This record gives sequence, C-alpha cells and structure tokens, in this order.
Amino acid sequence: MTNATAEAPALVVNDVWRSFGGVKAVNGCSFEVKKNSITGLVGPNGAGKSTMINLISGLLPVEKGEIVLDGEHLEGHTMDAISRKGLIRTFQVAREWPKLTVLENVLAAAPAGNREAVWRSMFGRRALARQEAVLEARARALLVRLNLTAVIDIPAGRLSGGQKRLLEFARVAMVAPKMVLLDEPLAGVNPVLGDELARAIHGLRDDGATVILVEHNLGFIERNCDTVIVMATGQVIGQGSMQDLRTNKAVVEAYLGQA
Amino acid sequence: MTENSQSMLVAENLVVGYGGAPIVRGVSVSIGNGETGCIVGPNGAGKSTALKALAGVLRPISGKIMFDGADVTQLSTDKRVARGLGYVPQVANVFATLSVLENLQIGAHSKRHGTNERVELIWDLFPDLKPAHHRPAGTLSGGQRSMLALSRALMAEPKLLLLDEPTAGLAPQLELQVWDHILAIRDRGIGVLIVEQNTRRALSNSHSAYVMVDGEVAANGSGAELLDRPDLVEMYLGGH
Amino acid sequence: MLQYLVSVCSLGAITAILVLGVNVRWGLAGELDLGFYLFPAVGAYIFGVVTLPKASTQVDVTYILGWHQSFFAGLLAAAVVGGLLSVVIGAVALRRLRANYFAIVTVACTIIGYTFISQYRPLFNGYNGIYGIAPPFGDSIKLGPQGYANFFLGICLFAMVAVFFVVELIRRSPFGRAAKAVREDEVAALAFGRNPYILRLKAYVIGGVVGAIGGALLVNYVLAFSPNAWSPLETFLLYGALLVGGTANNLGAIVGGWLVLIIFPQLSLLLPPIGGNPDALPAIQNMVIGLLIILTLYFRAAGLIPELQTMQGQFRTKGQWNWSRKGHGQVGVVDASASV
Repeated sequence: MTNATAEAPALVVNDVWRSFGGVKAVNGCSFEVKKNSITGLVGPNGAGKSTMINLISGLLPVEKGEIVLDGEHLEGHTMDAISRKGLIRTFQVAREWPKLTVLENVLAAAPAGNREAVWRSMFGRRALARQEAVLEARARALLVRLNLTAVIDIPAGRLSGGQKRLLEFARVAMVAPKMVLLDEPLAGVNPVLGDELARAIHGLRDDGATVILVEHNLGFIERNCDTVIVMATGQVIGQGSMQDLRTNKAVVEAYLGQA
Repeated sequence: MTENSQSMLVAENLVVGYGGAPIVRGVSVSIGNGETGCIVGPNGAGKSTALKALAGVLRPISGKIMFDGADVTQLSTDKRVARGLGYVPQVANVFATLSVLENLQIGAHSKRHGTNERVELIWDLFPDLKPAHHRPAGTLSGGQRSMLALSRALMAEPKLLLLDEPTAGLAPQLELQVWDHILAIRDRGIGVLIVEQNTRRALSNSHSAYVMVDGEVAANGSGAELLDRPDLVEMYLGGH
Repeated sequence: MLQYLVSVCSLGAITAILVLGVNVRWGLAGELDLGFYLFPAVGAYIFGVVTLPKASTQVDVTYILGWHQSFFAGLLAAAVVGGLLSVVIGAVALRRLRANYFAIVTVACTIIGYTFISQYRPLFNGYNGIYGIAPPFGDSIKLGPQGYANFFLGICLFAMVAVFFVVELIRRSPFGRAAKAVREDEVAALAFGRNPYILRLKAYVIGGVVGAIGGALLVNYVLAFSPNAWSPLETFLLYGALLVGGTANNLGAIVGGWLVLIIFPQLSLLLPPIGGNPDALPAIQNMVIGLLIILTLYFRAAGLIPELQTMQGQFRTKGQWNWSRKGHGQVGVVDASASV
C-alpha cells in the first residue's frame, strides 16, 4: 500500500479535558494525527498520555472537547462502539484471553459481524463454518508473520510476556483497523524483542492503519516514528522530530523539571 | 561520589530483576552519614527497582548492601527498619482505614518506648497533621497523605530514609512543601536517599547524585556537578 | 426395584438438565447466579397452569390460565416464560452489577418470587401449590405402569441429550467463544468491539430457558408443585453438583448432576439408621452429600472433568463431532496437568 499523503488528518483531538477528583489529568489537549503515519506520543510521568489514550479509545468518558476519527465523533461513545468504528487499542499489560488458545484469541478478535448471534450456532451452520474457515486462514497467516505458529494451539495464558505482546499485534491486525493506539508496547518486554515489535508496528502501517505509539523508550520512538508529539501536565507542549524536540526548551524543562 | 569511612549506606554492583533480563544491571551507590542523595533518570531506567532492593522489598540477584557498617543484603525490610533504614514506598504508604495517630503508632512499632515524644516531634515538623490526628488516613488530601507517609517512617527513628517519588502526583506547590519537609528532616541529621521525578530540583538539593539510564549508573557526582553537565539532556532525550 | 431405578434415573436426567442450565450461566458467561432455582420453579408452574384445566371452584384451588393444553404446548410455554423472565431480570441485574452484587440481586429476585408466589394465591395457589398434573401422553399411550415409567424415562433422557446437544453447539460456536472471552477479560472484549452486557444477557436468557424446561419436566415427574418443592437453597445443591462434575463443562454438568444429586443421596441410604430416628434421615443425607462434595473437591479441585483446554477441532465444516480420545480439547481427556 502506498503512503498516500491525504489532506484530512486521520484523528483530530480538539481541546479535550478530563479530571480525576480535582486533578486535571488532561487539560486542553489538542493535536492532529496524519493519516497512515506512525506518530509517537511521549512525555514525562503524569503527562496524561495514558489518560489521553483511554479518552480516545472510550475507556474513559471525555468531560469537554472533541475527538474526531475520519470525520466521525468518538466522544460520548462506548469503548466497544469505538472499536467497531475501526479504532483499536492495546494495553500496557497485554490483555490476552488466557484460556483461549492463541488461534482462538485471534479469531475472537475478528469483527463479529453476525457470526456471533446465538441463532447462528444452530441454524445456517454450514455458511458459518465457511466464514470461520476463511477467518482461520487469515489468522494463521498473521500468526506466521509474527512467528507464533509454534504456540498456535496453546492457551494464551501460558505464553511468555514477549509472545503475549506479539499476540496482541496479531489480534489488532486481524481487525484491519483504521487506527491503532499502542500503549507502551515495550513495557516489561525483553529488549531483544524490540526489532520484532518494530516490524509488527510497521506491518500495521503497511496494511493501511494509522498508528499512535505511546512509549517511554525514546530511542525506539526516534527509530520508528514519522513525527513525535510531546505532552506534559495534560497538554501538548511540542511536536516534531526528536531532533527538534531536544532543542525545544519547554520539552527539556518538562523532562528535567524546574530546579 | 562521597567515599568516606562514615558511609551510612553502600551498595555494590546491584543486579535486580524479575526473571528474564535484569532491570538493574550493576549499580553502586554510596550515601554518607546525614547526607542527601538522589537517584534520577528517564522512565524505565530502574530507579524504583534499585530503591526497592535497597529497602529489602526485592532481593537482588547479585551485589551487596551495607548499612551502618553491617551487611544487610539478606535482611527483610522490617529488620532493616529496625536497624534504622527507613522506607517510604510510592503507593499504599498509609493505612487508609486507620487514623493518623494510629498510623504513627504503628510506625513506631519496632521501638518500645518514646512513642509519645516522637509523635510530638511529628506535630512539630508537620503542624498540619495535628488537627487531623483522629481522621482516617484515607480521608486525607494527597499532600497530607504524603506527609503522613513520611511521618510514619520517621516514627521508627531512622538514620536514613529511602523515599520513592514522594512528590509523584502532587500539584506544584505541594511538591515544594514536600521538599521543604524533606530538607527539614535532613536538617535534623537524618540521611535521605530519594528517587525523584523532578531531576533539577533533586540535583540542586543533593550531595550525592546518581543518574540511572537503562539499568546502569550513567553519571554520578555531587548534585551541583551533574546539574551543570551538558550531556544531562541527552541522558533523557537521547541523541548525540 | 426396577421401577425404583427407572424413577430415580428419570429424576437424574431432569436434574442433569437443571445443572446444564446453571452451567450456561456460570460456566459460559461467568455469572454467579445464586437465584437460579426461580427459573425451574417458574417453568414448573407455567407448565402446570397451561396444561391443567381451569381452576375448579368446587375444590379450594386457584391459579391463573388453566388452558388444558398438550404436553408440548406446556413445555413451549414454560420455555418462553422462562426466557421472558430472564430478559426482565437480566436487563436490570446485568447492566451494572458484578459478581457479589449480581449474586445478591439474583437471590433477592428468587426470594421475592418465592414469597410472592406463596402469598398471592390467585397466581399458583399459594402454599398449597398446584397438583393433579396429568402424566404426559397418558391418554394416548396405553402402557402398564412399568411400561409408562420406562416411556417417561425415555422422554427425560431424550430431553437431556437434546439439551446437551444444543448447549454444546452454543458453547462451541463463535457466540460461545465471545462469551468465554467476556468471561476471561471483559475490557479486552470491549477493546475488540464486543458488548459484554449483551453477550451476558443472551447467556442469561439461554440459562433461564434451559432451567424452565427442566422445571417443566420436573413437574411431570412429581405431578405437583408447591413452595415446599423449592427454596432459594436448592440452587446451592446445583452449584455443588457443577463444581464436583467440573465447571464450565457441559459433560461435567451432567456427571455432577447424576453424582451429587442422585448417587450421593442413594449412597447415604446405605447407612444404617443412626440412633434409630427416622426423622434424622434427611438431615443425615444432607450431611453425607456435603461430606462427599468436600472429599471430591479436596482430591480433584478442578472437578471430575476439568474444563476443556481448548475449543479446537470443534467447529469443523461438516459439523461432525470429534469424539476422539486424544488431542487437545477433546472430551475424554482428563489431563491432570492441565491448568484450569
């Protein structure tokens, strides 16, 4: 797929606010994400990055402001509704379904359509079996791409941390989403897996998705992102390449603090 | 690095991890009697993990920890506290259902007597806590809770306090307040080793500073020295 | 002796259906429904008032409906009402409540139902209950008492197998997989576009329908039904059966039902009468059942048939059943090392 330079941004976050018991976690945050880009979202602890991801994905309701994905407003919708619009997120700690096998995990992630209606388990089973077979073929191909074929029939709860991360990427890819929010995918993972995860991220972009990558590992961000957005104390304080940001006074101050 | 024979806390080549690749990969630290030390560095560097190893919450894979001349590497946290090495964790640092006073009394648990005098000392240091002494700790504000956590650790008469991000999640003016308290504690001769998010503030207040990056000590020296180093920014934001 | 066995086995099949109903809610959806027995009770009552003739004013009995319909109509009515009641209770209880709170609300609903039915005579004749249910097909089939008992056993066994078949199909389907995902990690399910509330509600309704069908068959066995026959406590025995047989496992549900509710009580009858007091027997029976449950769970905590490891190989194109002895996720593999 070519990296089309579309004019309209994939995601527009406009003046979003969210507090927790008086503490403003996100206060007046605005940014745009270019279509089919890999955009980094960084910032020191407490900057509001995770809260922002939770707001965009619908895990938390927005107090004020707008979040627009491809022209559609996301604020006010539930998390599952937003996922069905094509925005998928991952979590800091991989959330696999432990007693389902790796293959079942990927199949259970595929968009439900009407396959998961109760009546279909009893009627129209031949057609359903055909649909499932098609999905299974796609799932297996994805798992090959991510080197998980060896564990394809193992309950996902038994995988190592790194394998669980890769499984998450398989599940995300299965949806063929418009937009992916990755919440610290390197957290708790052996550094040697970094290259494989990078490949998986680029794979998502090559398949047409726009990727927002939240990470603390700024080296990884620099190597893999087209552009980087820096948040601090709930707002955006800078955007550009890592090189630009290093000379941005506000960014340096956010990371090093005020004496 | 202050290598004097009066070093209160010395850690040599700590390696700490949870299985898989270790998070702290050979860190050495030395804090003198009554000194203020700090461990700073970018996220994920292993600062909290190193502190937990010093406190006894985590057992190091290898390395040695000496406190007040004795080897405490194998001792559990409560035994370290009894010897004077106090610890204030970042979360769950007060008993929410117990009152302020009860929290303090539990803090003094290892000391049989002198509790009342210690409590008076706490009211001296933190006058805001006194009127709230009967309230459940869970009803305190963030700043008050931070003070209480600090006070509870002080009740055990520590010689050195390990503090894990005491200002985390606090509003800027509360941050300043907490720092004032830490300095007041330091003025009473109690040593402090603090893992801190606000790098510049920590460095400007420390005798003995360590910058951790990727599990190792990337730089150490007096706080003032490190503050002036031009490559300090690089340690956080990368680039050459 | 034979008649006794046939009778006990009929009850065994009916009990197995009830435990299957519990397993749909607990094993499939992960909902701790401690008020389950309301649904078999409602199924029994509805079957009764649909198949009985109009309440006679000569005898002091009052109840609603009295449509004097056939066995099948009664069964269908029971299933429908069981389903509707599930929708009503589930829509409220499942929307916001979790675990303990959901469990308490279900118990409360059952207690409300129990009390209302007992007190409000016009509904199902209050404490005296309904009786005089005609044996199914009693008019059309001319068999002797033993023959009829065998016939009835046949109906019950057929129903048990049919319910098992349907519940298994559901468990192995994409719906079953989605329900299992919701049970394991609801937030992850949300993150992939599933609506946990709707999935749980559907499972709740299916459980209610199965329970109601079991209750309808039960009233055909006992030929009467009153608050004496059920109490909010009955649900616990069903859970005991499910835990012993193996949770989240339909075959385990059947095995557990037979074992705990039929075989254990029968075993307790082998005991010599203690203290020569005949009234002590039910109490002793309960103690024996409890003790046997404890022993079974002590030695096999996952239940006799642990949860199938995977759902693999269970949705093949030809709809064939893979009953092979080996391999992952096949019935019959009792793998002690499997982590449940």
